[in-house]
Amino acid sequence: MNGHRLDIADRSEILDILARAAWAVDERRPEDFVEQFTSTAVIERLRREGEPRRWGGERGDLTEFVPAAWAGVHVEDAQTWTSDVVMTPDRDGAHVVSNSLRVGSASGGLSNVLLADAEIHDTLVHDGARWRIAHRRIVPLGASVAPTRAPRPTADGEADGDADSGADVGGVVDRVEIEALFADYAWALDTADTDAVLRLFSDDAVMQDPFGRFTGTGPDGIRRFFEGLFVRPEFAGRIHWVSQLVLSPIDDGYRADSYALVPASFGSGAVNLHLMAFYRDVVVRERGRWKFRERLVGPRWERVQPVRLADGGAM
Amino acid sequence: MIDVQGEQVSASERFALRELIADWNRRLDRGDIDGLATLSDPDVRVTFDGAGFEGLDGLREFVSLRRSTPEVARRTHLNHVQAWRRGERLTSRSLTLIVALVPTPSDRGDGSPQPSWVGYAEDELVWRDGWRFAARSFSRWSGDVLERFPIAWQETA
Repeated sequence: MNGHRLDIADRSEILDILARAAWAVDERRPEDFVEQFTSTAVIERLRREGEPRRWGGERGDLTEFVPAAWAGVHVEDAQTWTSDVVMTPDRDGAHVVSNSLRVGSASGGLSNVLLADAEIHDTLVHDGARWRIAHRRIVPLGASVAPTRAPRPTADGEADGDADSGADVGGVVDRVEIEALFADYAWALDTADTDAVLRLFSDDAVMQDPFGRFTGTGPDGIRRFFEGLFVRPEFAGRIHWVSQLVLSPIDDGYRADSYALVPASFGSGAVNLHLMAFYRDVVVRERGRWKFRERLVGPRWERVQPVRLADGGAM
Repeated sequence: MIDVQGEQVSASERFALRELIADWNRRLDRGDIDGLATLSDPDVRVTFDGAGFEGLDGLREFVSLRRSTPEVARRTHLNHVQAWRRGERLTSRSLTLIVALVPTPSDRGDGSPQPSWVGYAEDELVWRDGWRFAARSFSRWSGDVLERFPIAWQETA
């Protein structure tokens, strides 16, 4: 941590922690979930009416939050999205407000429902080695609860971080650039900009369609793959909402696991959640920017023990 | 749809801009007109599905129409920010998903959130001792953004 400021490495690491906590809930891994919290952390889940429910490290029931999140939920899989994050330096650490969108899925990702949409207020502290969540307050959509704080971010990247210097702190700054790769990909894909899509793949890239129907290899194969995708009549009108990156260093890049949600918009104004899926990518640096070397899309991939970037993820 | 020719700003600036947009969206959902005013230029122009609102009075009207109410709770989510610098201004675009919930407290449950709007935001920001929104335009995912597709977009669900 840089005094009472949050630099780009702090912000990147905090996003990483929030994503890992969400993955741990969805994969029912209570021990990995509490790893993102301090030993005395408290979680409060408010209700639209009635008393909040609480879990705490000192009470010894923090791990119970995970099964509680699944109580009464009967779906094949679920994704918990941490999005719309706003971070403010606090006297003792960081105050972080985010939204938590939880999606449940059946039929191999093709029947989807929103389970919850909550606003999360986290207080994080830095213990000298890493950030951890010390307090979490969960406010469900529609609850008549006054907001705690309205943090104010700065949009001045130069004043607030050092990412452009090329400095990397334990690999966490790479996350910022890899997130930009995902954003560029979504815009190129959803607007059928084939050339822009191709610029985001390495020369030796492999792309696999959901559920293994097609594999495109190298620039020509990747082009054929996407040109084939764009003529499918149902493809236009969808957006690819991808986030929750968890990066693990590999030989010359990262393995990037992420969540994908594909809302579709129709001319009548109707909206549905067409697909819930999971990306498993290999990203590498080529000609000055991060690119996809391998893109796999499908149901939840087999878990590979990830490595926290701040624990030695530097390339 | 904004002209996207030219180099995007750095990944770190896009990262910071995402927080600023998230903050604006959150204040909209809460109906925090004072907070929105601090993040917006006094001459701000907001467009939502073609309906325009100008200046702080227009912003106030927009907020009264789009904020969460006891009847409909709304959450505005964003993702995938791109941004370009044009002199003293930034232009950006990002994907937007609005979730709505009609609270129905009863023995049968208290309502379920639903995706209610999918589209994108195009923004223009000016530097006023900090970036301020000079214009925000929310458009449904249709029209110009789909013009490259070889097959016409489905007009009906």
